[in-house]
Amino acid sequence: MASGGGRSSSFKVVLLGEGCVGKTSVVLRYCENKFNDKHITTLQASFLTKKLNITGKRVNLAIWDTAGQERFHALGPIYYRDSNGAILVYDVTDEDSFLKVKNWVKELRKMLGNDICLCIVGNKIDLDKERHVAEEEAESYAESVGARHYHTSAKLNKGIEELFLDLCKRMMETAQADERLKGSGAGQSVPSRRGVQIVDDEPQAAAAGGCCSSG
Amino acid sequence: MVRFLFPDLPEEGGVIPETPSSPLPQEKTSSPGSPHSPRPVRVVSSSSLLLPLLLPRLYPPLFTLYALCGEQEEDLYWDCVLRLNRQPDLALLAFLGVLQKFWPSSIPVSLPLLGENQQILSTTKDACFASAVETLQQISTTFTPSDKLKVIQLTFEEITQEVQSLLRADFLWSMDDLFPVFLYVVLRARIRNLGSEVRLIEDLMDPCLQHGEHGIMFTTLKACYYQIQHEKIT
Repeated sequence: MASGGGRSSSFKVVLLGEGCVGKTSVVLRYCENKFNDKHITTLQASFLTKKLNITGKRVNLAIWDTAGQERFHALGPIYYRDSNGAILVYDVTDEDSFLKVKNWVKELRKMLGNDICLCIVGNKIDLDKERHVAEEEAESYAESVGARHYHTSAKLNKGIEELFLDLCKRMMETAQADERLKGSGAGQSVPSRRGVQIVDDEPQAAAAGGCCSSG
Repeated sequence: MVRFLFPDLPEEGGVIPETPSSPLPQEKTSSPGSPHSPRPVRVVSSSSLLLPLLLPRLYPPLFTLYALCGEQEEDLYWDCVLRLNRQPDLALLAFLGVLQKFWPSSIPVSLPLLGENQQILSTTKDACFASAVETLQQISTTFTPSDKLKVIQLTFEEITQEVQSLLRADFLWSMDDLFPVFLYVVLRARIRNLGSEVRLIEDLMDPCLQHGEHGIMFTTLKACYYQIQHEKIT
């Protein structure tokens, strides 16, 4: 999860959507366009990172692509686990892809509750003439599930910057609200609740043990 | 992990008392100097220092426990691996939905020679992505999560190299394209207890790597393990 710590936070964002809706193009546009620090990773467009500065706070985004094919649908939970945000992309000319997004929303809300910031993205608005998903319908749907809706065109680079900026701000708000909820004890941000951190149980107690036998 | 490690430890005799206490002194030495929030760094350093020492000794019983724990899943997985591996390369690539442009023969489909080539190719087994497959197989010979993650990373690099030499044009992986290819490699690697490997890495890897590239690589391996179990066999 997001590690707070005041200075910088890091967020994980998953990218969900059917095969040809252009989800990869959307992030590629975003990560290559503005800042020039294109990170060439082994996984290339499947894993992109981006550093941002929002109101003086440093934010690291890790964007995880997922396989959109229907046969891999069941793998979703493995990928979106621990995500702070999800970008759900559909193609405005393809009604079916919008239905898939609705399914994802239901699933994400069920599994992760309101901890995750959802963005519903209607891509390919450059093909507005062939639009099959009504703007109003998509927007009112997004509102009804507590998500934001965006119109983008990866081809024309429209709406993408806003989408990510907005998402980051919302994730920061969520993280801050989270921290406030946890009270002061949450200052020591715990990156995950997995069992490995047996260490955390008794930090003071054993700190005296000077020499460890691990050398 | 706690559930696993602690029941397991007593059998190991001498090593036991060290575990609860030894991470802590190490933290003290390693946490200063880190610019980030102290807690994640501590955990990182303690596990990266401790695991290479502990795991080689604990590995066999620990791994057996993991294997016993997930026995049913493992059997299901292994069944599918064996059955799917009977298929020759091209059939398997097609079955998994790997895009044709990533198939090994760069022979254009329209060539008149196709019939002949296709025949040779269609009977070939274990030829494509062989180096990636071999790389991934080394996962069973490593002990620590970080070494295993390195193996996974090398596997992805091998795949990328192979594809790059195949398609000279610029190409970029998206998960839609990459996942089926990686799935193919995982199947061909025939790793006996992949589920145990996955759980061991998951439980012991540095939490701070989870969101990084190693994180998504590992997640993709884990996803393959689940996918293979649920893959309907034709």
